[in-house]
Order: sequence, then structure tokens, then C-alpha cells
Amino acid sequence: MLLQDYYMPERLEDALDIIAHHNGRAKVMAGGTDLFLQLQQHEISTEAIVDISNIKELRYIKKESDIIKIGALTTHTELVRNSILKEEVSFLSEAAESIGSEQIRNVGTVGGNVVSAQPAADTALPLMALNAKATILSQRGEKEVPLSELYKPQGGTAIDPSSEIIACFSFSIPAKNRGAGAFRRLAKRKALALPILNTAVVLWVDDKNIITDARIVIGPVAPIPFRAKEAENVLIGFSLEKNVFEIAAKTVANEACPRESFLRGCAPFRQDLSQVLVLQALIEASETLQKKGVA
Amino acid sequence: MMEDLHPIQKALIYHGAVQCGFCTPGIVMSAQSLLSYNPNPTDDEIKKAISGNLCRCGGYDRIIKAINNAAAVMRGDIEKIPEHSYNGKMIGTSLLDVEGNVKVTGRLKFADDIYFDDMLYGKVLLSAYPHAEILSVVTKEAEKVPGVRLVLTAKDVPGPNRYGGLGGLVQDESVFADEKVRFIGDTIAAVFADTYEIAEKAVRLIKVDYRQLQGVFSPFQAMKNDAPKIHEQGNLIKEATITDGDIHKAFENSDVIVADSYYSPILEHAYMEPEAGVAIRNKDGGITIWYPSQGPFIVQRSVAKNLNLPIEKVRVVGTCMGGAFGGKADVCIEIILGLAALHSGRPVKMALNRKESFVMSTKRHAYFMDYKTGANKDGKLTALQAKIVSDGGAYAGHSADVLEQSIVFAGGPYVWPASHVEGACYYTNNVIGGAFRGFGMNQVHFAVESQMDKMARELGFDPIDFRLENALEIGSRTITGEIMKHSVAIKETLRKAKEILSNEEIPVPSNSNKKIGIGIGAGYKNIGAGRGFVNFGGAVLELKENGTVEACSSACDLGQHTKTVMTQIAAEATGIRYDKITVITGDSRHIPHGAFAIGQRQVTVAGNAMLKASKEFKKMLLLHAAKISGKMIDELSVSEDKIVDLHGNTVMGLDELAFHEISQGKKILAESKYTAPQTYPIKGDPNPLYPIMKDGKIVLDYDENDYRNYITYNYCTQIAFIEVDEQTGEVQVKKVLGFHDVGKAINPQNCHAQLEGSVMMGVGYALSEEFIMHEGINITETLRDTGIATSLEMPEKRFYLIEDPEPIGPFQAKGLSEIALVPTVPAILNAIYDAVGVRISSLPANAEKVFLALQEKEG
Repeated sequence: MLLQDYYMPERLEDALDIIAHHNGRAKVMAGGTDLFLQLQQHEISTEAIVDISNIKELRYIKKESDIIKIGALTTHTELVRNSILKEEVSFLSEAAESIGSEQIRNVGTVGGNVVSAQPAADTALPLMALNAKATILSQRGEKEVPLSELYKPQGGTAIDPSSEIIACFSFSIPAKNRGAGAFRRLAKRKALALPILNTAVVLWVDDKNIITDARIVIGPVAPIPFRAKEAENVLIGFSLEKNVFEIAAKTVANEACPRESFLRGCAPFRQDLSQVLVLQALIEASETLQKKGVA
Repeated sequence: MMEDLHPIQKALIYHGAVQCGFCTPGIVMSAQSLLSYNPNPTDDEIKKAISGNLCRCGGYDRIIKAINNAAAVMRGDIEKIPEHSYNGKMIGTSLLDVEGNVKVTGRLKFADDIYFDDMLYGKVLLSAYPHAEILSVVTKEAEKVPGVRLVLTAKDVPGPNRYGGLGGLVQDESVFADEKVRFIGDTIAAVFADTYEIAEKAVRLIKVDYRQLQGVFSPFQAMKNDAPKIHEQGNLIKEATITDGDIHKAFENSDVIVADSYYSPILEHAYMEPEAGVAIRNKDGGITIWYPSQGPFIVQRSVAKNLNLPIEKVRVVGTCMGGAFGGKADVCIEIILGLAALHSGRPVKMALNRKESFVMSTKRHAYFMDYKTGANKDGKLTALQAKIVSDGGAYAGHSADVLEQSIVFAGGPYVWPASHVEGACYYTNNVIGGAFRGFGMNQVHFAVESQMDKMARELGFDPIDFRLENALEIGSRTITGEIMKHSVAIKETLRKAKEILSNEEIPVPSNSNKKIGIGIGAGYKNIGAGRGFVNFGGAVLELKENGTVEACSSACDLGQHTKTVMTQIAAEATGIRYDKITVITGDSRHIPHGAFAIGQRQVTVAGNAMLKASKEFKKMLLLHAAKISGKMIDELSVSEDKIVDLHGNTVMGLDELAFHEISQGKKILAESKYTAPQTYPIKGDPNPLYPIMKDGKIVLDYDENDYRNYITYNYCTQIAFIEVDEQTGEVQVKKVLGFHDVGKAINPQNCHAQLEGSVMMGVGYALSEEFIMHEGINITETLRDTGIATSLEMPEKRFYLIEDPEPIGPFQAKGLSEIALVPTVPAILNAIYDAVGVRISSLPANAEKVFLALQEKEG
């Protein structure tokens, strides 16, 4: 397919019209940090690019009572510098800050990070751990879908390119439900590096400090961000204790099963490292709960 | 000029934060972006803000200092940034980069910035396999693409279609592969078209039929008798041995013996500027090529030969290099550019993308080393046994050269009463091994310095004392039998290191999972290529009509400010003010022969030539001034931009002198050549790379008193302070202190900038860099994957320059750059052991290796 058209709509409905018109043969582009490279290296081809970066209505971070809403076109830099996120979900800001470099964070968007469906997308992991929902718009209207359902099990996004655009992500502020999260990442170096492994966890407790729910998301160990459900189950019903976290972290290592990778390291290392990172993240989340006086 | 610049730009120049200049405009933008939302940033915030801007020349220290300084000016805390550092003195003054202005404004022209109307753009077709026979190449479909003007293959090469490494000693590389491909960087064809897009499309239409051959992907495979032959003569590129004394006896009498195997991987230079060049066909049928080369005369020779042109018809204009580090010492796409201009008659350009650059350019050789060393309770070394095997890749390149050098330096800067070192280098179907900062030095120093650390620990010696006990000094004999004669400063660097360390603040761990370690590394390195190689250079100074001076030098500026240093030498020796002198480098039509930037030889070789020519030139100026003024020569001298008498009164301006003489058809110029002292190959090597011949035979033994392998050496000691995360295996280098012998620092700020950049490279080499190949295909395809260190990996660095006068050097100076990378890696690795008790002997010591080693240690 030869690239023929480049659109820069300023209104969401125009964007939806254009993609419908191209019937799946157009690519929606937000920051373009992945898409351009893929086009340049002939990994993909497209008939048209619909550059939605001018649609201002999709660029915001707001708090509505117990819910935080993040417009899909919010850049990583905006996630890093936003005071609401720093206050309520600093691990999400931290995750956003670990992406690429300032130049990439200035243009790359949270929506793009989710739609590109990489198994170790740094902002997708915390969002998934926060049980975030995506609001998806199409000409048929609007629907809300849990983030975990935006992926095809075999990899790739489940968003329909011929009709759908993500408008925003929303999630309950964890502290309002006695919850707290943490993010951990190990890479070859501290900037401009793919993660060897990354993980985001969120813990929720009841008023007796018993874990009522937990999310552990880890990448890249599967074609999509991996939820360690067995490990989550291990935690539920226990109090915030290190030995419980250790058992859960071990469970993660067993169920996550990272592969051999020339660039990321051998499987045994990555398996053991997943245990270390998850444990660190669980401890940090528990410390945050205690610091905030929730637990 | 400088007053028009932004404070960020001024500060970058003033602090010496600009080296090759390729990354500089990006740094300016990132700094401006940061200061626009944070006018008073901390160092950590600056590091974060520039972490997306890779700089391979420097250590980020100066950039951070400059941004701080600029921020202070922009806030109004300080008034302004000085615009020069000239204090009337030349030698020992940190003169600012003479090209600083064009670099910070992005106006410095790199080869890819050169543009001609009607220019064609080229794209290469590289081999699809690491080892295969070429059955046919069909270009018909490519030729049909509208806009394609030229398709080149082996049949279009008028000359022998062969070239080679340094000096072209072994000519085993093809411009276009004809019968066989030996690695994935072999070029099969090139397409030149109206645009890159058309060329790229056409390249993909070229059909190549291959018959795949079994590949050889390690030197150990290559050395087997039944291994597939990569070249007809077999897979061995070079082997050599040195033996001194009886090591068996010496080991028997040793109190401690330590043995280990070491591995140093293939590494990419990762200069910021990928290879690019432009060529045109001249009216006389000759060719002019603009190309960023460390060896413009080697390019000239290789192009002339393959284009079948007389050498004088090929002009090579060495363009500014956006970093090189040895990676632009070999011929890459220059001959293709020449051929395209020759055949098309149009200007042609080719700029490699990063992926192409990675496979087509040379790499640091992978080394496999077995070391066994012994010492006695009194702390004296007894014996060294080393076996070195290196991976030369598909073509000979610099492999033999690098190997010879590794053998000479295999023992580090120490006296070994008995030694036996064997080295061999083999062809494989991997990327080509070439010159890379250190040139065979780094690998063996990693091994020998690790051994030194182990022995010191076993004997209960302080690591510095143990080295001091055995370090070379004047009169010492090296393992090759050279008697060290002058400026042997290793002990001084060790003593200074000990003195500073005793009062140095030790970093504290940033949390309870982390452990701090301190490691020592020492080393020495040659100045100039040696082992029989003749180092020569030249300089020509000419007075121009306006009274300024053009100084053509055989130096090559790879971004290390060689032009500034040559300006300083010329200014000091002539008495003319530095800003009246313009140094010209790289253009084969104008500069004297011998231009070749290798082995830290610029200051010694090109510098000595510049010094000699400058002295001559001053004499010429005075001679002409005396003739015109009727005064005696002895009454006159040169001061800044005029001729003065004994009382300092102006006799005439240089512009007047120039006008007077030039209007009469006279030229005032001086030319000089410098040839460095003779060096000798490894004794007894029947097949040295640079043999000394007598009566038609290779000389095998040399007079003990004259015998030297190189012109001279420089020496250093470094201390690394690191932090290991015991949970994840991550290592962070917190601080590096360096103690470096420079003879005499001509430009101290430049010296520091070179040292910082080298150490920064060492941080990556030690912990994260590796060019990963799997069965002949590179896994490392992007700058990101190389693992070169960013500003966030930057340790604090502090350097102490030790000035042990070098009698051979101009103003007693020595070259300085490559050496600083030599001890960094072992210092960091020894520090890891100090911190957590694990010895990593296979580089890089990334989190994975440290993690697994810690796991093994704990059982």
C-alpha cells in the first residue's frame, strides 16, 4: 500500500469520518514515535495517516470525585509533570518518565502507548494494574472497555482501526479505596532503553489491613502485558507482610515465564529478576499504604 | 561573532562542552527546553533533561557545567560568560575551540550537509547471508525504475575491485562482492537515483542468487582444520609469540598463581555521525570526494586504484568528523562514491543509515584471553602466561595490527621477569574488526589488571602498592625486550592516586540493598603506530594577503580539537596571535602527506611538523621584513600581528608585509616534514606487519639499545567508585578519578574533555555495551541497542594531569585520549569485586551477569 493521504483533523468526529472512509486502510497516529519507525522500516504500510495530535479535546488530566480521567492524547511529559498524578498515582508518573527520552515523551501519548500494544508498554502496565477503563468512540457511539480487553490474546490491539478511537482512560483513585501502587523497571541503562522487565502492582486493603484485591502486571513476558493472576490470588486475604509478598513474587516468577532474549537476557535471569522486581514493588506499595495512614 | 550567541551556546563553547559538534545543536535545544520551564535546575534535573541526547565524545560533565552557567546568566545571577580564555600565553592555556561558533550554531558542515544541484543519491545492496557464493546478480528491474540513473556492480569497477586496511597491507576487501560474500556487510550493488526513495525502491528489485555456505562464527570454529575456508589461504590472519625467560621455572617458584579466562565482546564505535560522502567528477576526468576520513591519503590511494586513475587525479577532502574513534580509519563507501561520480558524471551523495553503518563499518575485536600470572610474597611479579585469540571478522582490516599491539602490551605497565604470550587472529563470517580507541590495548589490560587485583588480594597487598612494586620505570625492560628510556610516569600516576585516595570521600550507598566498591586500574599505551610503522607528518604555513596565516597540517580533526591545538603550537612558535592563524586539515590537495589520525599521534607527529614549519615560517617573515625595512634580522621579532623591533615598536604589520611581498609576486611560506624515531617489530616475528628489511631479508633481531616498539608511551591510573544493587545486579559508577601522564598539557581543558569522554566510553564498555551477533547476523541494530552510556549513567569524574616531560614531543607534550579508556574497564570490574565479591571476567558486566554471579556465590 502506498501512502497517499495525510490528515490532521481538529475534531474527533472528523477523525472518525476519515477512518470510516478508509475502511481499515488508514492508520491513526498520535505521537507517531512507533508508527513512523515502522513505516520507515517497511514493517507496515498504510494508505493514509490520520494524525490526531491536533484534537485538543483528547488532551487533559482531570479528577472527578474519586475518578481520574486521562485524555488519550495526553503526552508522557504531561503525565510526568501533572500534580494530580504525582499526588495520587505517582507510580504512573514514574512509569511515564521511564519511557525513551524527553524528546520522545514530549510527543508520545498514553493512548499510543496502549494502542501500540507492546507487552512492556510502560504506562499501559500501571493503567492495567489500576483497573483502568478505556472510553472508545466510534460513529456508533461510545463504549467503556477494561484496558485488559483492548488486547488480542495473541498480541496486538483489539481496537478496530476502521472505526474506533480511544478517547480517554479512567480509573478510581486507589487511596479512596484504601489502595496504593508501585512500578519497577530494569533496563540496560537509565534512558533510551527498552525494559528487560517492568512491573506495576496495586494493592487494596480493608480497614483491618487485610488485602482485599491486588493487581500484578508484568512485561515483557507474553505477547501482551501479563497479569499474574495466580500471584494476585495468593495475596488476597493476607495482611501486608513481607513473607506473603515473597510467596506472591515467587508465584509470579513461575507463572510469568520470561523467554530467552539476546537483548534482554537469558530466561533464568529474567525469571528470577521478575521475582525481585515484583517483591520490591509489593513492598513499596505496602509502605505507601502505611505511610498514607491507610493501613 | 560570539556576542550574537545565546548564553547556552556561549557557555557550551566556554566550558569546552563542544567536541565534534554533531550532538551540539540537539544539546542546545534540550537545554533551552529545560530552562524554559525550570530556570534553576539541579545537576540531576539537567542530566535527566539531556538524557535523550547522546554525546559520544564527551563525558557530559562540561555540558552540565555549561547549562548551569547559562542558567545563571539567564536568571541574571551573573552578568555574562567570557568569550575567550586567551591570556597572552599559548602553551598550557585552554584556548577555546576555534570552530566553537560554527558548531553551536549548527553551521559546521558535515559531509551530509554538502549539496550540489543535480545530485544523485545512492543506496547499497548488502549481502543477505553471512557466507555464500554469488551465482548471479540481475539488476534489470532496478534499472527500469524511473529516476534510477546508475546501477553499479563488480563489473563496473575499472580497477582490481580490492582494497584493505591500514596502509592497504592486505587487500582482501571488494568494493562490490563478485564471487562470494563473507559477511552481511558485503556490498553487492549500489543504485544511484534522483532521490533516496527511488534508489531504495530500486535496490530491493535487484535479484541475487546465492548458494549458502556453512558459516564460521567464532575464531575457535575458524581454527579447526575442517572449518570452511573464508578466504582461499585459510582462516588465520596473524599469529605471533613472544617468550622471555623460563616461565615454567618462574611459576614453580611463585607463592601465588592466578589463572582465569576473559572475554571482551565486539563493540560498535557509535560515533554520532554515520558514514556519508559526496563525490563529483572534475573537468579533467578526475574525482573529488568529500568524506569524513581519519586517513584521507589511504582513501585517495584506494579510490585511485579501483577507479584506475592516476593518484593525483583523486582529491579527497576530509570533512569534519562527527566522532570517529578509529571507526573512520578504514575505507567504507568512498570508492563506491568515486565510481558513481565517474560513471554518471553527476554529483553523487550517499549517507548510510544507522543499520547500514552498523554492519558496514568496523568494530572493536572480540577477544578471548587465557591468563595465568604469578607473584611472590614480597609482592614481586614472577611470570606471565597469556593466550589471546581474536575475532577478525570477514576481512583482514586492522586485525594483525591490533593483535601485534595486544601482544606487546599483554603484560600491562609492569616488569615481568618471565613471560610467554601467544596471540592469533582468525577470519570469521562476523563484522570486520578494526581500529577502535585503544587498538588492542583495552582487552589485554582488562585481563592483566584483573589478574593484578586478584594477586594483590591473595597476597594481602594494597592494590596500588602492589602495582607500584612492579611498575615500569626508566631502565625497565618490557616483555618484548624494550628498555624504557624516558618519560615513564606510571609510578607517578600510582603515587598520586594513592595520595588522593587517602583523603577521598567514599560515596555512601543509596539504600540498604546497595554496596559500594572501589577498584584500581592502571595502564599504558603507545603514541603513534609503531612496530616498524613509520610515523610521519607535515605542515605548511603561508602568509595570506590580508596578513593572516594559513597553516595546512597533516592532522585530522575527529572532533578532539586538533585544529585548536595545532593553532596553539603555530602561534607559540611564530609569535603570531592565534586568531590570525587558520589551520586547514584533511584536503589531499593542500595538506602535506602523512595525514592519518591513529594511535594518539597527532600532537607528537603533526604537532612536531607544525612546530618545525612554524619556526621556519617565523624566520621567513623576519627575513622578508628585514629586507623591506633595511633592519637586521636579529633586531626584529614577531608580535601578535606585526613585526616589531627590539624596543617593541612596530616596524610593519603582517598585512603590510604580505601586501608588499605578494604584490611583487613573492610568496612567504614554510614547509616542514617530521618523521618520528624508528620503531621495531616484535623480535623474532618471522612475519611482522611492518618489517624492517636488510639485504632483502626481514630483520629478526635488533640492537638492544635502539630497540623500541613505539615512539613513546603514556601512562595512567584510575580509581572507580561503584555501587552494586545486590537484588538486581545493577551497577552504577559513582565516581572515577584519573591520574594521567601527558608530558605537557598544551590545552588542559582539551585534555580533561578527552579524558572525560574516554572514561564515559569505559562506563559503557564495562557495564552495558555489546555488539551482539548471532550466526553472522547482528542483533544490535540501533544506537539504543548498543548500550552506550547516557547522561544518567554519568559518574562524577576528576582528573589529575601529571606532566612528565616528553623529550620527543613538541613542547614536551604527548598525545592523550585513547589511554583514558584503557584502565576504566578493569577499575570498574575490580570495584565490583570489592563491593560484592564476584569476579566478572566476561564483558559487559551487565545486571544479568552480576545477578547470576551473586546467585552462584550464594549457592
